[in-house]
Amino acid sequence: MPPLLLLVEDDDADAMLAARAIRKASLSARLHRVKDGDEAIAYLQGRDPYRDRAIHPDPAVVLLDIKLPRRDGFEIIRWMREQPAPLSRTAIVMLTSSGRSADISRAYDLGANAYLCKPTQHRELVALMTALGDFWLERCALPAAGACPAEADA
Amino acid sequence: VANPLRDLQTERVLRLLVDSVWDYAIFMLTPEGRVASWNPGAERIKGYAPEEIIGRHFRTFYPEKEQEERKPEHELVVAAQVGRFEDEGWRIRKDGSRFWANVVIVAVRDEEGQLIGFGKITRDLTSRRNAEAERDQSIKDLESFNYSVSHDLRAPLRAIEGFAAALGEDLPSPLSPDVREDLAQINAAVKRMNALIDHLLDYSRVSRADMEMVDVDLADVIDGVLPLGPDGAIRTAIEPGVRVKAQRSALTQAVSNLVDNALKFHKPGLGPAVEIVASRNGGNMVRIAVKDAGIGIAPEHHERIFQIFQRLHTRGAYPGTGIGLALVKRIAERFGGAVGVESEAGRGSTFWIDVPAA
Repeated sequence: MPPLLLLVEDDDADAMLAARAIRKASLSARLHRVKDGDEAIAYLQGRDPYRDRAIHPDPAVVLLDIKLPRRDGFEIIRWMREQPAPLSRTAIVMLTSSGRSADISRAYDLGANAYLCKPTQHRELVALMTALGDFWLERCALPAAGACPAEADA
Repeated sequence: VANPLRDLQTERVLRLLVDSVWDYAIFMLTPEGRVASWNPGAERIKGYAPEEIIGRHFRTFYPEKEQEERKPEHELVVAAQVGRFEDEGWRIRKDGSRFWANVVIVAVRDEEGQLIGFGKITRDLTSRRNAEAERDQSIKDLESFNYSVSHDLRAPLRAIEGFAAALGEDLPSPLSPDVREDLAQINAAVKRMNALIDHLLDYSRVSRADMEMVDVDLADVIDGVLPLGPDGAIRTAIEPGVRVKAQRSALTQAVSNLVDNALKFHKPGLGPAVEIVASRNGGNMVRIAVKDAGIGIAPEHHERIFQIFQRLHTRGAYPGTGIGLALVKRIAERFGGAVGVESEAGRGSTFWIDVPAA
């Protein structure tokens, strides 16, 4: 089963374009999108309708917007980092349109692992998703795997 | 023989002085803190007539919580120990309303050094404090407005650009020239809107946000904007070691806007040729001049071009948002400097900004 990317994004257009970019970047991952902070937490806790972990596995990476209805991205980072493993250490990659230095610092302070700004051009978004897949899904030793990824044969 | 100096140094005259002061509460306290005298300023600010307050402890001017904490008594102890105590805080008028006070308490001692009481001077700074609070609030409002603008206006733009790209990919290829042109127009409009948002945010930021001026090496700033032009298009002549008092990022923006313009408005068929000259300008200003050999500007337009959204050319001829020079002007003004232009149509332009020397 390919790893799961959980996209927390309230804007439908941004979510569709992110899905498209991930498809075009040919990531070896499945994408599941939730629309707000409460849904994100329901998914991460495995509450209904996300109880079946065979269909809704723990995400390998959470792609998290900041400005969200109900609970914002900062609250989600804080909540995740207060949970037992695996959520306490699940990779959190911010994907947001805020380039404010206060937001960047706060996200890292709370425990985000990376901070990406939404590009204005779709071409750039595809490039960003390609880089994200290459780093987080191919090369990174994620906590759930507990081992370094196998090296590609030269 | 009349001696006007001595005449004005009598106790009676000094009392008349205190009694004529309307702007400050000036009064004496006994060593225990009871009110011993009262001037018109005190009556005006605190609302008590002399007979209502003389003899009462000055703790009555303090909010209840501070009375419980024995803050007034503590202030007298400090004043007696070090000679003086100064504080700002809320105080209470006779009618129970609050005012923001600046308070100075001085220990008054006789010739033997014996404490005979305290002098107390109080100013009502409520309106100044309110103005500061309003200013802080409007800066906060502006910041959250700017944040919403950049966040909420860009989201639909990302969608327009993204779906136009999707359309181009999903339509059967090859695209017809018309479709290709339509998509290109959408992209150009998106780019323009993004630039407008960027520039408007820059403009509102330099207009309102706090700016901390520091000592900046001008050559450093100018070096930072040089990569804007193609190799050899920009020459510089900067007085060695010249430093200015400015906010670095805003100064960089101002200079780069001028250089941008100088590169942009070159004569058709001729490449840009730009010279940046910076030197002390006689007094305590440094002039940064950006000269080009471009299309120039007729004198009747010189004033207008520094106003926001004023443009002299169609977007097709020279792209732009109409904010660049307005931003330069605003930045120069925030620094306590000025901007100007010398130019004639067809004969190049020299734009300058004066910035205070460090």
